Amino acid sequence: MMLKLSDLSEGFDVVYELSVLTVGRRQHEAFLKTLYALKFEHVVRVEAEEDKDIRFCPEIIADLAAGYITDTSPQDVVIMGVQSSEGSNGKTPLLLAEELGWPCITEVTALEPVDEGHLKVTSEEDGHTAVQVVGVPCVLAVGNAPSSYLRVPTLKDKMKLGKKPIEHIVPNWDQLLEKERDVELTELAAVEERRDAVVIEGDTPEEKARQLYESYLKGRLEKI
Amino acid sequence: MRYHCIIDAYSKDIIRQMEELYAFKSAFLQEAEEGVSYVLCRDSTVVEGLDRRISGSAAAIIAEDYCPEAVLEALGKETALEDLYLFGSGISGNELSVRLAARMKGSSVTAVHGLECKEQVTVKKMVYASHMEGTFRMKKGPYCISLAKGMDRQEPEKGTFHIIKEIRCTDVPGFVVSRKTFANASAGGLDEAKVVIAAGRGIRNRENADYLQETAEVLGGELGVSRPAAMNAWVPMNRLIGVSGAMLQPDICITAGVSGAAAFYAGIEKSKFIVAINTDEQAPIMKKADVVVADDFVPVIKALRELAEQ
Repeated sequence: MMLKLSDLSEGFDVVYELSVLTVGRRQHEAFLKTLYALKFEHVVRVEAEEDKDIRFCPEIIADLAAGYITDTSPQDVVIMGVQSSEGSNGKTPLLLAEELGWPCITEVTALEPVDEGHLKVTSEEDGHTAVQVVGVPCVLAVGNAPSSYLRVPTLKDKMKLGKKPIEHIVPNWDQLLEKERDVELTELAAVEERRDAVVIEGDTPEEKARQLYESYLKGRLEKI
Repeated sequence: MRYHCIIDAYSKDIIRQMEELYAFKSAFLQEAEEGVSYVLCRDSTVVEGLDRRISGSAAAIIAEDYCPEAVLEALGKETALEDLYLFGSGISGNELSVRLAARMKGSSVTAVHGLECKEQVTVKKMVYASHMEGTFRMKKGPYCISLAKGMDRQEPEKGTFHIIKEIRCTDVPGFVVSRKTFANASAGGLDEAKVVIAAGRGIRNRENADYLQETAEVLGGELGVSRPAAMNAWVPMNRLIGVSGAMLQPDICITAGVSGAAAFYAGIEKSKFIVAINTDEQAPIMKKADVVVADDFVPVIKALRELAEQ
């Protein structure tokens, strides 16, 4: 979405400087270098400790991002995901916005430049789509945007730009983790969904379809 | 403990919100003290026009259009530090619950499906892409939670809210220069469909998605898709099934080319009868369906369609 926005900026006389910030471990660096090759100017990794599990600590991630923006590198717009699949907290962009005192738009599906101080933001709301021209700074959380894949850089760009070193931030983890959290994970339990899984046998797909229809679907469809 | 519900009346699914909130409070808050329902709306006639209620009294938080900043400003002035605030499962519910708790120095958890209020407030929600259930202790009030999508529903009691207060939002923030809203294109009754064909990455292309849509219509149903199919734009995003899309409970769900990822399966798990068609016998969906066909979906669906048309 950021790259699309940057592409669109040419006709609007707006220049975007794209930065990426992630909290992660060293193994993520190979992927991060791809972002340099895609023309991101700054790629920053906040060093995550191997033995510290922060999957359920969205307030720490928001703290780190806010610290980077206020102390290290001021930004006009922050674009984030809505939630990770592991923690499923669904809170980080909202907490960051509160911490920075910025407005936040969630479920963003498209962005267009307007001018240096404004963006046109399309987002999903409950039951409708909102198209807003908003001033910066703001936090935007990306929702179900179709066709939003990370591009593959050219080999030339990979060779030319992919070797730039990743910028590092090493936070004081002891201090961050000491801070009392509002919500604490106390238990995790695996959930397994199972049904009968009766296998339909047959020599051909057509035979299987007939058995499926006659034995399991016909009666049910007639009742509906 | 006292609890309050927040209802977003800017949304068209106000009845669903009320039914989910009512079922949740019936299941988990029988012992707790009922507070006020806050209804976010354009004017109080919306509240007056409701013939069902989920609490005796309500306060209308009124603004011309939905604006989270203005709502939070108004709601923050009403918030009691030790109370529980229940928000709906929609986009606004998640947003408002987290931001209200942050402003009031309380705690928040989104997409909650279970609650226990004893000495401490603990809640349950799905984590790890719906593979695990996490239990979370909330340490500070106000306790703000939003409900998980697809929760059980219960018809609220008949009657109208007694409106105790009208709060008008005046501090509309200046960062929005212009705003237009458009009603989302209908997903053709997917939410209420009795028969659903659920297609995944394995259907391979848009032409097959179109064919499945036609087949679903022949069966009197609707087509829904998993995330990869929606992200490839084979069908509109409003046909997405799963934790970030529609949570369905059809009588019959036929999956085609779906692997059965937990986040998708959550959207069909309440189906009465599930058929899985997949070439991969080891795909997770093949253990989560009532009946499975290990074969390519194209000839199977084609034959099914012919049989149904007969």
